Amino acid sequence: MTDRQADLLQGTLDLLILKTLALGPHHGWGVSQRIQQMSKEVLQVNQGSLYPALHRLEHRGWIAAEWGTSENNRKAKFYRLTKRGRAQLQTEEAQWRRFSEAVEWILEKG
Amino acid sequence: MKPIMSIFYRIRIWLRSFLRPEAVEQELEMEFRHHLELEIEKSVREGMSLRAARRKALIDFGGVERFKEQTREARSTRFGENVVADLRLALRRLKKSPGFTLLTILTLALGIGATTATFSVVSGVLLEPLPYDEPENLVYMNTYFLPESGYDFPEYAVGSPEYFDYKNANRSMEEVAAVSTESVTLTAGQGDPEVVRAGWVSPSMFTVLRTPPFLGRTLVEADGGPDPAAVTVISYDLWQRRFGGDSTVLGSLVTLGVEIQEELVPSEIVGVMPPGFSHPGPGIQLWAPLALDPARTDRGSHWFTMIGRLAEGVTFEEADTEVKAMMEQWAIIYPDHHVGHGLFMKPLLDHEVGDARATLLLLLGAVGFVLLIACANVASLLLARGEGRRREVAVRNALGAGRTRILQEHLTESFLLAVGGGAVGLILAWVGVRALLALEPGNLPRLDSVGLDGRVLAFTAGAVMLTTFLFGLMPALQEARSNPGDALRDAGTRITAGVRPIRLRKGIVVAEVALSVLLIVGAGLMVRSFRNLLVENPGFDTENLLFARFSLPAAEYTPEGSVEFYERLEEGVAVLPGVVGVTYTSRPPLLWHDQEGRFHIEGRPVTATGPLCCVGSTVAVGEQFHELLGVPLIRGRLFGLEDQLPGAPGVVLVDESAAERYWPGEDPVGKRVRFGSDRLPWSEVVGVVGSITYDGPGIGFPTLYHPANQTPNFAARSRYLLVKTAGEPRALVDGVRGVVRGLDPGQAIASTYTMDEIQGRTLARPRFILTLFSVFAGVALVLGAIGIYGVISYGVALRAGEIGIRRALGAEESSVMAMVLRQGMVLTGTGLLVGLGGALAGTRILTGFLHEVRPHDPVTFLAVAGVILGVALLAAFFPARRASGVDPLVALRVE
Repeated sequence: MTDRQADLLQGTLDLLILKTLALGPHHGWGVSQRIQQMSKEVLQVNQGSLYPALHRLEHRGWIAAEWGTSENNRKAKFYRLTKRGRAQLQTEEAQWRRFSEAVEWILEKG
Repeated sequence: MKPIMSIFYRIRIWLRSFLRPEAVEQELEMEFRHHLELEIEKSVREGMSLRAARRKALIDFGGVERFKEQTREARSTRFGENVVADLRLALRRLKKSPGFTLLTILTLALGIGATTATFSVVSGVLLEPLPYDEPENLVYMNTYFLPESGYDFPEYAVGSPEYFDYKNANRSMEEVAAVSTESVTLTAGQGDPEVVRAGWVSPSMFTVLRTPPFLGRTLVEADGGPDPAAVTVISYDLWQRRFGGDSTVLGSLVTLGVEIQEELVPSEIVGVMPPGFSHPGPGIQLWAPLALDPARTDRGSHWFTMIGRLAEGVTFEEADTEVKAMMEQWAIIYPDHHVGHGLFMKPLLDHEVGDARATLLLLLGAVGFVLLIACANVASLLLARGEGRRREVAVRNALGAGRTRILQEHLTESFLLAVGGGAVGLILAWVGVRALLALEPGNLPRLDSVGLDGRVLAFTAGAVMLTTFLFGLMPALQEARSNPGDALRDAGTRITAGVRPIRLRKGIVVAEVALSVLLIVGAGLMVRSFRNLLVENPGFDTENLLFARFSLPAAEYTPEGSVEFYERLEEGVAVLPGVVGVTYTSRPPLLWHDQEGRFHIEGRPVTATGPLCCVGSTVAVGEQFHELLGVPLIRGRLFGLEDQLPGAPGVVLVDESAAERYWPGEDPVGKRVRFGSDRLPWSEVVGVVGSITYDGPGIGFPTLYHPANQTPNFAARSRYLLVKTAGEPRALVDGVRGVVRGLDPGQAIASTYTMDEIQGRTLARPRFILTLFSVFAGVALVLGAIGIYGVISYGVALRAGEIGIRRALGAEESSVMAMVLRQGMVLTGTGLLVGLGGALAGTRILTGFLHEVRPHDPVTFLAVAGVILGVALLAAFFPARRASGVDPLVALRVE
């Protein structure tokens, strides 16, 4: 993995996590399941890579975490979107759209 | 305030990563396991074998350790790097605006320093526990005489029947003790004979206080009783001073010359107390058992006070309730003695603090104001600085700097300022405590327990630093919340400054000025009051007077013998060079007050409540007393030699205030009065003399004089020799000592004072309060001026563009200057009005501290208004001059 690939992946993953949590709080496994469902099983996220991203977002204040009980009665760490995270999601969504439009435009012209 | 919450949340998780890495690690472990378990369960539900499911889960997850490491990185690294960068940046910024940095740190330091120093003294005196085991359980007991008893003494001594009745009947005390003090003439050991203060106590005092001896033993129960053992325990100080710290002193015999003890029995030294132990009162050098006879039933005599230790599990309130109930019983059992008279108790600490409490609380209030002003000042300085930063923040915001990054930077800057201010404040506080102790002439109790108080330092530093953070962050928060584009446009194109933040700052300055006014009015009133005390005519000539106290032991001097001793002393001193005249008094004027005296005038109706009709303090004096002090004789005659002869008919002089109060429109001369009880003989009033402030400055209490040799026998042994000198009175002390040695080498002068020293002592507390108030007022004035200067000068800086336009449009320098000055004066005027209003309402609490100044003294109020306006004008003048000097072109180009 080169640095640039990692950056790209990371940015995309952040966006996906934020989007997922915008639907409601969830724990790590739940987030990975939702991303898979929402992307209609097309995007295969390496499940472990989710966690560095979750913790990074928590440190930036975009998501917050607290311990709770999961659906099968186990202690689990639940993440939720903060107000700032919601704003960040909008920015990233807009950026992503512009980026993909630009790429599409180049592809069509080419 | 969402951003603040999220900041706290983030600080918390940062701190957690920093301080509790093992907990974070464990949580990570749990989180990963939880994920894998759910993944495995899912696969099993879909029909996979457990083993295959586990394998699939691990593969899908990817390298567990790798992701743990990545997660760790995500949590910690950025934090450390940012802190260092922010610190560097903040330092560079502060260095770039030294004026702001200096003013802020100075303000913080003054606030922290002054408050901590004063708080430290207050808490040392008022709050620091007494130096005994479980000191909160110690109580002090004494008696009261309410008017219904025929007397009116809020506090009076205890007698032995009362002591034994309480000791035997109470169920609240573990132990009680009787304590009193005596002057003891000591000849044993090294050095000249000296008179020391001694504790005459029941041996139970040592049980109550629980202080073990340093050497030997304390007094024990067997030493006490009606005929106590001839034993004594000495203080560490006396042991070192007179016995060279030699432990063989135990068992040796010393002679204690005491006024009250008729036979001289050598006492055996049985113990030495540890350094610092001194009860009751300061400077006690030895302890001997007080004779207490349970068989004694005379309830009319009172000669000691009591202390006690609450029994296990008994509260002060319970003990207090019990003693009150007991007194109701006593009033029924002893209707002749205990109606309106009985025992009361208070915590021993309250007793030792005494009347210093009011003084200290007043100072505490004043210094609280200083703290508030300092906080207001810091707030206004930081707000002003934030204002100047709006544009920079907006630009950086627009360039993509995270809101948190910018907040973090402001936080770091505030932190640096707080640390700087705190450090300088700590030094100021340390110096301040020492300065206060040096300033205090020793009339506050318990000063040895005063030290720089850590709790207090933490509190004040906390208060001021919180202000720093709050107001350091406020501008950044406001800015961070706004849309970067708007803010940028605003800051970039608007030439005039925004209105809203300035309004807040102006409010703060108005509050600050108002608080300063309150404090300065208080100080002004104290100054006026103190001046009145200083210039008050005491009614006599205070120049060149020396007082020397003597206390002759009863075992060596009969009443007649002591009269003779004093006559020969007078003759000997009179012929010393530099002596103008010699006489005696039972107490020097001004030194302490004695407002307990009562007397009766022949033929007057007794009051319903007792056998005596009138109040007045009494003094026993030699025949030359009034002449030497220059007190005028109004009518009648002064005392003559014949009045001092043994068996001479009782005579009395009254002062003018007694004459006016009790013989209005009458001539007191020839009338007869009687002191104390109705068993004593009548004395004839032979003259009226001028009033002097005998009981101290500001106390006009009727005074009656009687001849020194006519006082009851034992009191006659203790007197003050009064020497009027031609030059410096202290120079005569050695001469007097020589005369004493010639008369009786075993006697010593107990203490000496000059009138100047006595006046200094009586004015010491007002002077202490005045000095502190002046310092606080000065600090308040400086801080107020800084506040006004700060807000006006930042206003000018922000409005440089606007001023430039005005100038370009033809505004004169003088009109620009007037505009800025007007702004300053409006702020000050508003604060002044609020402050004066507050002072009108609030200075009443000073009434008890003021002498012949009304709390609404118009002179003070006007003077303060003048000073405040003057200082404000000065503070606004510099920014105004800068504003008038603005070059229109330069100012316009700035934008």
